Amino acid sequence: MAQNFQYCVAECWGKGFITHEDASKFQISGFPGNVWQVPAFNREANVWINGVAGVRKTKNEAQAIVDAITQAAQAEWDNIPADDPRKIVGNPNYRPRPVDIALPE
Amino acid sequence: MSTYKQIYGYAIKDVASDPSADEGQLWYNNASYAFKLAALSTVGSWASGGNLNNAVYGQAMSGTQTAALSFAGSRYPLPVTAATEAYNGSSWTAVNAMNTARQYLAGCGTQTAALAFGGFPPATVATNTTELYNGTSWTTNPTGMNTSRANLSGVGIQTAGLAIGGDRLPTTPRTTGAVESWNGSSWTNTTSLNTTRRNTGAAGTNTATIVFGGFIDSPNSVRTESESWNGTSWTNTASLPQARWNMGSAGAQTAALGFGGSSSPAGAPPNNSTINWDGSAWSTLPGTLATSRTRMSGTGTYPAALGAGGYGIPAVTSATEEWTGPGVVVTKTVTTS
Repeated sequence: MAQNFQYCVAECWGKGFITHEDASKFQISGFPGNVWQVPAFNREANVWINGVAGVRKTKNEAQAIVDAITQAAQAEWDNIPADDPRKIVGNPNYRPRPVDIALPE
Repeated sequence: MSTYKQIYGYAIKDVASDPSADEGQLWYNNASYAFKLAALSTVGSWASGGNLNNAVYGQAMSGTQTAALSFAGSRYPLPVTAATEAYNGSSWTAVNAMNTARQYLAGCGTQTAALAFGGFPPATVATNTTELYNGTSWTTNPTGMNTSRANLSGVGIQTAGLAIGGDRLPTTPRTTGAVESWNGSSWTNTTSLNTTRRNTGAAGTNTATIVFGGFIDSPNSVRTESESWNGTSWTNTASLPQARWNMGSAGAQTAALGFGGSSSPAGAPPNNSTINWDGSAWSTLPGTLATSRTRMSGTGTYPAALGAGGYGIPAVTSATEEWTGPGVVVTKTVTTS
């Protein structure tokens, strides 16, 4: 299977973490656990990962990080009583159950 | 004898950080060991801004990309908040809180002259309360909107605002298309939206506004409709490329942005895409938010917008992103490729 993306873990410190120059050259997408997805085999993306001190992760490693956080949030949601406003559709405090995220290759 | 300057022109400045430069200026950044150039952007893009001090969603914003205000909202699972933060173009600072904590309110104005109206206080009974910010503190106006509501949109300035649509919970039917005009001291009912809805995006002024997307109940559906306001009446315009609600928005009646939000009423993942209104049609732009989220807030202009907060997966975010549209001077690194 062709590898379209690469992943890293880096904490977004705010201003300057992603610049307009970065964003205009390649797409950067954030996921739970400070997981960031950028194009594979892309020189500019590699420079960005190094610049933000990103710790490279395989797709499976990144998926495991995302899954752990998502599953913890799902478990928290599942433990909310059924009559809690957070579970009542239409209530201003309603929150949908966090969905699974499948990272692409 | 020829000098270096005569042969090569002016020497390039050696600086430690990128300056605010005019188009065409070139310099050497000795911190990043790179030649930099100020050039016009060819595509719009989102860059990271300073993170909010507290993650929040369902808040309102006012001001510009470099001088903004974020106020109220919810820090779920923590309580609904009245907290206010001010942005200086790079970082957020906590300032005096509002008088009434609430979420899903609307706001407009500038960083130092903002207007906040409506929303759900913790009791989730829609309020009509209006507050004014003078750059230091919030004051509750003696009178509120004629229709109490949350999940409404707001545009304009502190002395000439517009409250659009909304959610009247616990009154039924919940969704209203009512529109009210603010003159600096009181609200007056004016012409309602053609399509009754709430949770829309909106951009513009008291007399020139574009309203788009949103949600209606009975039956529940996310909307694609877009309407234009001329100060007297609403005119249906071209529809959005995709139904969307709870998005951030910025800009003007003839050049607006919508970003984030979601496309389905329950359970749909947050969106990261950006849509653009050019005065006649909507399109999806290539520039996407780095953090997908819904219930975020936005402010600013089409070429220089700001989005902050929101509800992502699986939690509330403090992330701030700055939009720079095409044709704006941005810093680029000179490379050999």
